[in-house]
Amino acid sequence: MSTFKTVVLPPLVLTVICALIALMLGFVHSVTAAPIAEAEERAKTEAVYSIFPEAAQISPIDIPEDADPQIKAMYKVKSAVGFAGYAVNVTVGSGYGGEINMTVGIDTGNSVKGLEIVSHSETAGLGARIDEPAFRQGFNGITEEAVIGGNVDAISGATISSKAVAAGVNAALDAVAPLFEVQIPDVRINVIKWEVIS
Amino acid sequence: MSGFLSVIKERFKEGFVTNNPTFIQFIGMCPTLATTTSAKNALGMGLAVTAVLAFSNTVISLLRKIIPSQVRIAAFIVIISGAVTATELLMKAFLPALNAALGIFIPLIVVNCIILARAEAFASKNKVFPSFVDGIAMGLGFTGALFLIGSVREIIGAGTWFGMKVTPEAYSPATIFIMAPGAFFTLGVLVAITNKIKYDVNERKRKKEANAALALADRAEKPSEEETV
Repeated sequence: MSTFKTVVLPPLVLTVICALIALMLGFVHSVTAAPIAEAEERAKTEAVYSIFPEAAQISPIDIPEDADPQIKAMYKVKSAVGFAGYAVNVTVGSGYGGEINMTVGIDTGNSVKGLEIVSHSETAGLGARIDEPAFRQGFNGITEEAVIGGNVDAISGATISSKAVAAGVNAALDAVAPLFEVQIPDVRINVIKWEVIS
Repeated sequence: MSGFLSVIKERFKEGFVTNNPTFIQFIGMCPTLATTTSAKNALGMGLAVTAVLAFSNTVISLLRKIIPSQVRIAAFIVIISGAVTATELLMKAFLPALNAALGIFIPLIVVNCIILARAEAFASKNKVFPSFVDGIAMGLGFTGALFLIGSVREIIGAGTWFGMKVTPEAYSPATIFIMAPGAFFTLGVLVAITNKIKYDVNERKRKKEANAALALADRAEKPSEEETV
């Protein structure tokens, strides 16, 4: 075989194949980039709508600079009658099988309104049961701190997964607390008319 | 037309029965054990692999006379990983729930032995249409095996099938079947069953051939007598 065939041709063919495959992937990427971004946004906001069925408007708000890095997104939720609460999207890395992404809804009384698990890699039948309504509803109404074994029941056989979810809920509560402090309650000033009694 | 049909019949017989990737060739074991935690996941994984197989077999067969032997494996891997990446992007965009369920095992299709095995053993040596059909047949044979294992594991280990409860209330699911050991249990038992079937079929064939040989020998000795079997 000539030098061309043994030395030059093989890398040349390989390069051309790589270029063609790269072209194909570029095309697929351009077709799928928008739907992928849309699917990810939808996954985040879908969870908010299930927690706040009365939600009429969900507006993203800036995450404070010093906030927990686990906080991925924060939304202000408004219903038809007004401010309904906040939704916080949190990713905890302390799940048994990896990251758990969840959306925590917090109502106007600064307590947990609801919890949706967006994605996880927990074991089916065990840690995956964090998705069950019975477990998630255990967090409803908590204002201070969720404690597995305290005010929230763990999933038997899945303590690590349960604690990871609690950590996410607490991160959400901490992130939202300063926002509630800023709210100035409506103050009605009563004007009393003074009359001089001589 | 009959040529096409016979190719399809032959490839599908190979992919499903005589050369099934899971039960006969024993390749692609890692995703087999890992993604069969439910019937739905198993089906999803199997179909994803089938799509990749069809694409890579076709392209490799198209290029088989052009790819020099020295860079054969490298070229195959570039084509296969391109197909897998495309599949992953398409799943992320249009099937996000399944993508989340299968997770890391979608990119891992690149190192699934079945794809490289079929590329090397068949697609690089055969024409485009048979290679394409081989990809589909092997992929569907793999999917069938996965689906069987996934169904067994889900029914015994979670009491459901495709998420619907199929076991009576009194049955407490054996969760171990959803976990790693359960994969090995299920696969082991199913392989034992398929081996027994294979053995029985071969035995029957061997006996038939032995009888035919004997009948032939009899006829040779006594050509005037009537044939008795």
